Amino acid sequence: MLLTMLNTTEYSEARELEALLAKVAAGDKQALGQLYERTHSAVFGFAMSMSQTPADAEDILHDTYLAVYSSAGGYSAKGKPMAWIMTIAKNLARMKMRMAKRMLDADESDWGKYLSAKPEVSPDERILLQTAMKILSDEEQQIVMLHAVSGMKHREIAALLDMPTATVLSKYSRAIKKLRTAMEAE
Amino acid sequence: MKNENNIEAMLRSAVSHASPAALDEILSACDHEKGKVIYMEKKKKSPMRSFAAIAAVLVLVIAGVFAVKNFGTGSAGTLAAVVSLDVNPSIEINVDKNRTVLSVNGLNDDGRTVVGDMKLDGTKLDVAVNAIIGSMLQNGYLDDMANSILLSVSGVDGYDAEKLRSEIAADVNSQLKSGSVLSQDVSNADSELVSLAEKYGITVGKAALIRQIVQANSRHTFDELAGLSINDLNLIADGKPLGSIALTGEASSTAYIGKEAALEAALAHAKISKSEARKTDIEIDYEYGCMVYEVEFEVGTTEYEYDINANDGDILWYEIDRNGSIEQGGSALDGKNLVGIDKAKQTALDHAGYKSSQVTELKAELDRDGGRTIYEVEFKAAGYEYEYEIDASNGSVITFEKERD
Repeated sequence: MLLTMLNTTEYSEARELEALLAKVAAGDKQALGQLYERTHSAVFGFAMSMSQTPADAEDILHDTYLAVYSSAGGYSAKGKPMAWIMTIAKNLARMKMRMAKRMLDADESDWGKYLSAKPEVSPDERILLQTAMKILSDEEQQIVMLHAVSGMKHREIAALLDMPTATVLSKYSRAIKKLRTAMEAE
Repeated sequence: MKNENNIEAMLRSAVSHASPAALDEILSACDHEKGKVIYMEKKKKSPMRSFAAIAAVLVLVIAGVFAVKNFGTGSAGTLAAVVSLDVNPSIEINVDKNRTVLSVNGLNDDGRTVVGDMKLDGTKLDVAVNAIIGSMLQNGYLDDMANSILLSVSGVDGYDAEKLRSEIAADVNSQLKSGSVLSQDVSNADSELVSLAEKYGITVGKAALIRQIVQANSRHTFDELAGLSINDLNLIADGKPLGSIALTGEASSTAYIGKEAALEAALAHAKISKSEARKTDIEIDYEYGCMVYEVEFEVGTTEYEYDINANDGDILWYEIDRNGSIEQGGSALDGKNLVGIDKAKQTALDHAGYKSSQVTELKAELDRDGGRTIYEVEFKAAGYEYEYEIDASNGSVITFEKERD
């Protein structure tokens, strides 16, 4: 039963994250560290897609894990720990956007500068991220980050962003096509 | 950068490399954080437009298949296709390749009513579709007066959406013995359709049907049709090309007075007996914000045209052409629902940038053009002759011309 096994892998991933969340709820900071290691890239990608500036994205990442730490006790294990974490990130980002309606200096929103300062990011990777931030709509960025980077399923993304699954599917494939075309032109 | 896989893998690695080392900071901040109340927004219900529950016996089943490359491995439990059902309620069913239901979502208020507290996750698609249709019948969304359903299927990762479409359409057909089923594969829906669907809060499948009707008959606009039930759309589409949308059965018109009664109303007004009328033609359409019967006939060299309100038989508009001598009338022309001739004049003047004191030969008259009731407004100013067509129902400028006088 290969199919069942594939499913089981996915399932156990969720189970492991839930086990970590249960420990975090009990105040286990080491468990929070493990949870962070396994999920921070996904959260940061989503945060980038919701932020105008690199500083905002970093703040959202930071605040999301603080919120996870203080509210993990409120998580009821339903097999969707990533969706729960992403909901926190989304709500924090929305609060932030509401409070921070202001004009930005060109420098503040300069993702190129931010990415160039990180030696781990290769030039190709920097171009890809900058292109994505530039040519994709906010919604497309969010869908791409949630699926490609965070590994969430289209229907989980649909529930998180409150749109029909068919819309998520079509927006995702269009966004990837746009990105590919833009990158081929690079 | 050859394919999606590369793009996705590269995005993953790029974001992972770009992600800051924030753990230490977070851990030290945690000590101050415990016990603080965290603001969590409540998830809002989808803001889909809730259409009035017009009893729609037309069940349009739109099968939309979205082909996404390199998406999933097609294992059990992975999304393989999205099936949407539109009547007036809109419902989306996500299934895996074994046609096991992963989730069912009501996309508007009526759709959520239909789904209710049914637990359909894990059941087979045909069982779920059966239950949903049953609930639509029970809740009165499908009945003798509205028998049409639209089925749209989207396939993921090369999943055979067309096969799924034809099989579910056949299932729905056998369940709705006197129903009408419209079905389509929307795997390759273009971006225009997706944005229309979003703008009007309808499914991509319903947007595809409306666009098809608008393309076949340019007098309609997407905007005026977006709020109609699938049954009314099916009635309007009657006899017109539906493109790639498959149709079985016939839309119900029993909610309306019927072609015979419409013809009788027109004949009675014209004081013509049925046996005298030649070249009689009756079609149902949507005009003046309601369903109408368009009735045409001839007696000798005189041509008669009527628009009859399909709900109550009221004569909304008529035109009698006696060898070029035209007589017009009807309640739509009585001005009940029209913006009025003065408003039309003012709209045209405002558009051209003149006051009435600055123009000469200002005149306006009510007319019909391609099924629309319009005001034709003309005037002269500063050496130019202006001609406007103003939509009589909403006062908007349809066309204008400016020529040297």
